[in-house]
This record gives sequence, C-alpha cells and structure tokens, in this order.
Amino acid sequence: MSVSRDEIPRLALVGCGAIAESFYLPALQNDRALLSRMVLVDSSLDRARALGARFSIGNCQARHEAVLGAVDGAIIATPHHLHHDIASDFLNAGSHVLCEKPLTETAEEARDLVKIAATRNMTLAVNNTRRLLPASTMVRELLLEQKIGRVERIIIHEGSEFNWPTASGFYFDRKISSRGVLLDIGAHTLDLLCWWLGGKPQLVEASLDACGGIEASVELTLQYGNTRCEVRLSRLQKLANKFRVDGERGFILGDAYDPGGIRIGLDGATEIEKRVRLKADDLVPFAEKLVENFLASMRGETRPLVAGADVLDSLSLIDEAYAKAKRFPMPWYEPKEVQLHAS
Amino acid sequence: MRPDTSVLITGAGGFIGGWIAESYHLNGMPNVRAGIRRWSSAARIARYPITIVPCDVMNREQLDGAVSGTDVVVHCSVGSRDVTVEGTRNLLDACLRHGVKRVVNLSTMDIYGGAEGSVTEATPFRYTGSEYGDSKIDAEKVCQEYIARGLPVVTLRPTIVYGPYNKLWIAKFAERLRSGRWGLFSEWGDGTCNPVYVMDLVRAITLAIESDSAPGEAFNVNGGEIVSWNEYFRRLNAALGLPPLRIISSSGSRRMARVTDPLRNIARAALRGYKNQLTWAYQHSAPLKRLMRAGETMLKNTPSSMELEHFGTQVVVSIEKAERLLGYHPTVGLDEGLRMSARWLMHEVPDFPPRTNLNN
Repeated sequence: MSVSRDEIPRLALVGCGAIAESFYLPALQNDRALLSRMVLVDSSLDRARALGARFSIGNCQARHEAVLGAVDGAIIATPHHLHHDIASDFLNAGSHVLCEKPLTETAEEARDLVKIAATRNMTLAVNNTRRLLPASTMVRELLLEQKIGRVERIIIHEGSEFNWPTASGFYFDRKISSRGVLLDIGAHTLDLLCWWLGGKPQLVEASLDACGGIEASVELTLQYGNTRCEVRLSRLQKLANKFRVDGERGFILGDAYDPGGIRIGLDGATEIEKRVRLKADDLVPFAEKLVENFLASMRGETRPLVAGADVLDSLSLIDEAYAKAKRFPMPWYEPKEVQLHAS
Repeated sequence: MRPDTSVLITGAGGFIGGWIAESYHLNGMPNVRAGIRRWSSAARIARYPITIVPCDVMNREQLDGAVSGTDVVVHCSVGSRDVTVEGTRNLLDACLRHGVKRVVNLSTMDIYGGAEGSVTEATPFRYTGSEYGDSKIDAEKVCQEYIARGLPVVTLRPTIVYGPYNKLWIAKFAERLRSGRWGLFSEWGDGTCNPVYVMDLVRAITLAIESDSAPGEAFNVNGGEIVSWNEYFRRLNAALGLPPLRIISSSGSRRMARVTDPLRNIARAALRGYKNQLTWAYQHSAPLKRLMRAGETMLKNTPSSMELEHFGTQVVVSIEKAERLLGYHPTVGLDEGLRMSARWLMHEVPDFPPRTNLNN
C-alpha cells in the first residue's frame, strides 16, 4: 500500500528517548511540512510535549494505540522489548514501519513482522545504521571484489563503559529482558559480519558473564566456510574498538568509531587509507538518508536500505548464541567470601 | 550479619559499591539493594539478580524510597563537593527518619591531607584544596552531627583500594606499565603505598556493621602488606607478565615530570577553551589525530610532579584500632590480590597483553 508522491505523509515517532532527540528529530527538523503533520508518542506525555515544543510538533500522545490507522508510517524508537508488538500493531493497521535496531528481541518475532509486512504489502525497514557508514560499505565492496583474496579471519572487538543516557533503565531490568550486550551491540556487529560474509556463520562457541542477570561481556567464535570469526563485546571495559579482516593477500583494518575510513594492507604494497569526508561529526546525515529512503519506500519508489528480512541472519545468530552460551571462567572471584558457585 | 538483613548500598555502580553488592548477594543475602544514581552505571551489578534501586543522594524522594525498610546502609556514593557533603546529609537525614539501625560511611585516608609518618585515627583532618579529600572531611563532620542525634554511623577510612574492576590503581597503572614509559622512580618511588585488597575492605565493612563498639567511631582500613610504590609497580608489572621495569634515576624522574607538567597545563587549557575545534581537527586530519593521540599517550604514561610527590611520601596508615575494636585482620596479600586483578584485566581487556594481532 503506497503513499502518493503528491501528499505529505503523516508519520508517528513512537518513543521520545535519546535516539529520537539526537538522531531522528534533528534529521527531520528542516522538513516543516512533514513535522506539522507528525505525531510524537511516548508513555511520558511530558517528555513527548517537551520534544514537541522544541521541534514544533503539536500532536503528542501517550499511547501508540491512539494513532493506529491514522498515520502513513511509524518510526519506532522505543525500548527493544516493545518493538515487536508496536511494529505489528502499525503494520496490521496499514502503516509502514521504520524500526530501531534490534528489530526485535528474537528472530521468531522478526520473522513474524517480516511475514505481516509481506502479507499486507507494507514497508518494514530497520535502522541498522552501521550498514550505511562508508567504512562498512567499503569493507563489503572490497570483499565482494575479493581485493584481499580469500577471507581467512575476521576479528571484531568492541566495548566501552556503558554510557547511553537511558532514562528508563530498561537495559538493566530483568523483568523486561534478560538480554544484554550481545543483543544491543551484537545487533550491529553481527549484522555487519553477516552482511560482509554474505550469509550467516555457524556458531562454534559462545561465552558470557551473566550470573543470573544480564550479560555485560561476551566472547563468540564463529565459522563461515574457511573464515574464522572472533567477536568480543563489552559494556564494562574499553576494548580495542577495531575490526580486522585477514585475507590471503592482505588485510582491512577499521575503527568501530571511525565511520569515514579504513586501512588496507595488500601484500607487497604500502598500507593505504581509504576515506571519505563526512558531512558532519554526528550521525544525523545518515538519519536524513535513512528517513528519506523510508519515505521513498513508503511511496513504492525503492526498497529499504535495510529491510526487516535483511537482519534475520544476525538475529538468529544472537538467539543461537544465547541458547548455547556458557558462563566464562571468572577466576578473580576466588576468595572464599565471593565464590560464583554460591550464586 | 543475619542473611535476611536488608542492606542498601549507595554508589553501587562504582568499584567498591559493586563489590559489596556482589559479595553480599553471593553470600546468600537476598535483601541487598544496589543504589545507583545513573542507570548507565548499572552494567556490572545487573549481571546478578540483585535489586537495583534509583538512589541519587541529591534527590530526597528517591532516597526515601531507597532507604525505607532498610536495616543497614553502606554509603559509597561520591561526586562533586555538593554530592559528597550535602548528599551525605540528605542520606543520613533519611536514615534517621526511617530508623536505619547502622550506617557505614566510606571515607578515605585523604582526610589526613598528605600527612607523613604513622597515621592513626587521632591524626587531625587536614584540608589541602583537593575537592575529594576536603569534601570527605566535611562529609565526616556531617556524620558527627548525626551521631550526636543518635544515628549509629561508623566511618571507615580505606587506603589505596585495589582489585578486579578497579580503574585507577589497576587498569590505569597497567596501561602505564604496558606503555614502556613507566618505570621504578628511584627515591621518588620509595614512599609508602598502603594497598588494601577490595575484599578485605568488604570484610571490614561487614565487621563495622556487626560490631557493637563501632557506632560513632572512625577506623582506618589498610591491607596487611605495606610496600613502597616502586614495589607496587614492580609486583603489578610481574603479575601482568610484562618485561622487567627500567630504573629511572632520581634526576631523570624529576626531569620527566618537569618537562611534561607545562604540556599537561597547556593541554588542559586547550581542552577547556578549544574543545570543539580540537575535536574537529581530531576527526578530520589523520596527521593531527596521530599527533594528538601520541601526545595524550605520552602524558598519560608519564608521572606528573604531583604524583611523584605522592609516590615519595612516607606514610603508614595504622589499623591498630580496627584490629582491636572490630577484629579486622586483612587476609589477602599483595601478590594474591594483584594476581587476581591481573587475571581480571587480561581476560576483560584481551588486548592487554595482546592475544591477537588486532592492533597491527
């Protein structure tokens, strides 16, 4: 069900937390016509109204049910565990959906959304921003062109002290979800890995540090054909925040927080840097691109940059890792006063 | 302490607060509440099924919710002067209103303000201009006010608290040792380090909760092994499996600090006045980025004059009072404590020491 090019679409932005404030609304702020028809939805109506006042959006609601059937599209930026139910409500009500990553908490929920979207002929797009970053696309292109030959190993280490300004604390509420850094950061890194490799690797080993709560550190070993992948994620410590792809004829090295460039080392040649100049220091230009693509997808002019079906592999991999993960040894809890086996 | 004692820990998102919450939970105490100011600090304790409660000591409403129904409060939160002093007042006020049976206030040896020689609890407070030490003195004075009003507060003054998850004495110094710029600073490093393993401190806290003679008192908490700073660096270095440290002569150590002190001041002033421009340059110019990174690494891994003064100070913090009144006896030796800390660090930050070629 497409939206006509002649009409200004009516969008709902559901969830008025940090991502709405720093990513979506700055990207939309110059489109006055679109903003004038937009609805902000947040369970904290005060929060929605505060953002509405800043971005000149008068229509604010506390519940998404209030706008079902009344909008052409919905951008869902709520806590993860709400994505599936809210997205399915909008799709079933005939609205296109652009959802924050992770699309859902489980692959089963994601498959359900993909099915609903296909049945109802609606767009289901996901904000897996990393796929839009020049550094990530450069890696994909180099691998497709086989510039470094057969890929033998991919290593990704990403971690820093958790500092997302979450107001609700949903990340750490076991009643809401028991999934931690593997879902939150893994939705980016494992998605990139699947995208670069062209398919889902096999899980060889997974270990994490949850002791009846939510994991903050995880180690994964994966295998895709002859390619070994090692992934390390942490919410506790600053890790190298780098990735490296080793091929039989060279390597690609990147920085998780440098979206504009990578380094390439080919055997017998000087290491070179490949870089594009970014329009801004933040991710807002990528939000503009994402929303523009979503609007074009709603009109039936293009496909989503990242569609719901595109992230099924990484979400399946995350499910498998949670199912098979062991707790890694933590020998620093050795004194008899603090022994993990007591938990 | 009875297993069903309900304990609130303020500042449970921090290094010491996190260890208290974890160890009490792991010892089968179901009524542990981990108080945090920001959710972003909850990642470590959330790995356990511990109840996490919002507990900003500047927010009286939150404090009421967190303190209500609590038998014991262990106060670890710290921040700006206001948070440390007025936050302590707010907390103790709530404790008094809710009939809390015991409060343990975590202070610091810094309240002695760089005293030398043997330091006991009778050594007077000394203001030095340091926000941390000075505000801890004032927080202790607030505790005295509430003790006078009948609240059973015990103050502990730990020394150099180290262990797994410690950023300052373990992670930061490990980075310095790994850099190859650090060393043994001759007599500048011959002052006394008073290291106490974090679990020994947790044990002292438990004794302060249990002891009938503790309320109204303050106790120093030190480890069992007093070594020089040079010895601390040498043993941490060995625990991390790094090559032996070089000996930097006394004059070389001093010169190193004197040369870098002005650079530190310039860097601080530049960051204060031109942060946006510097960030832009860092993000847009590869040579500038490399230069800034190299400068930052050099400054981080070289001691400042102030640090050398600290590493050269001879001070031994006595625990005689804690031994006598609380029955506190540290049990974790420095080598054992550093071994566990190094195992933590090498596992949690796997590039240190490198296990892969990721940093080529």
